Amino acid sequence: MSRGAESIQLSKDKVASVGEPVSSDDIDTYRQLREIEDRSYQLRAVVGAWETQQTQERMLRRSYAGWLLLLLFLQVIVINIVFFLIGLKYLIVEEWLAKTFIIAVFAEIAAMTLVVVRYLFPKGASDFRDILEKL
Amino acid sequence: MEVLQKHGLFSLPVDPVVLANREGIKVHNAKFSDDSISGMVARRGDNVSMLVDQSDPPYRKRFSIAHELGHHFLHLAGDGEIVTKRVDLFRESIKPEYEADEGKRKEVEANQFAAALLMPEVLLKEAWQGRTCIREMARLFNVSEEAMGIRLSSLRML
Repeated sequence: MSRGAESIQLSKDKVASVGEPVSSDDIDTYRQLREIEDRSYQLRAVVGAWETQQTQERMLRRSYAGWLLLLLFLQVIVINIVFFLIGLKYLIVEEWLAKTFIIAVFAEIAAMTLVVVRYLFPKGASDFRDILEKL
Repeated sequence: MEVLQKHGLFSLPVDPVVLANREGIKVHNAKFSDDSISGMVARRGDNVSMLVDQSDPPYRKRFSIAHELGHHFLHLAGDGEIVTKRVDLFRESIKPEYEADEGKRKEVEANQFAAALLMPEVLLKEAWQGRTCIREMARLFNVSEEAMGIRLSSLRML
């Protein structure tokens, strides 16, 4: 007989050892189920919030991407028109100015492409995984 | 149930550990020498102790404690001890062959006490209104679905 057996005074031939007192939590049949349900609820709330956020961000990014593509398209048209105007001598500019203009426009297109790739497609999966691991 | 009302525990789910503690009964987990034993209650003067098998799942321990409380209130007036075997927890009604066997009759009475303690008829009838799902009822009363099914059936509510 172990701890507590002296005060409990029970038949030693029937009891091998006496353990911890039984608490209300020990006999709560559905405690684990409730805990699982609570965690499930939290998970569903987080996933729901994440889904809403992702949808809103996607719409915002789509809007930005649309405007940026339009600007890029206009810029390409403008640069081509200017290029042909210069080539056909309808527009007379200094050679260095024409080169600078064309290079600057292509640099701008490259920069905008970089912005689109870098900021309109952020890494979201790992952030979400971090949130899930904290649950 | 007068005993629940006396201790202000007439609400769901009924907690037999709190009831036992308020009656001054110590309830401990235990490992029994014989695997067929599920619980026991012993009285030595004013000292009443109760043991339940530590390896039993929560719903079984819960019913065992309620069952041992039944022995405490109904059968253990003086010093002594009552050992409950697993098979005793499944004795639902007093059969003619039990008339000569006082031990089996006491076990049936303790089971009936336990069922009435954990699933009081008044609360059961209140909860059953508008419900038809035994699983939901079992969760509400914190008992196994099997115990709930038997209780509802014995009260002719099914």
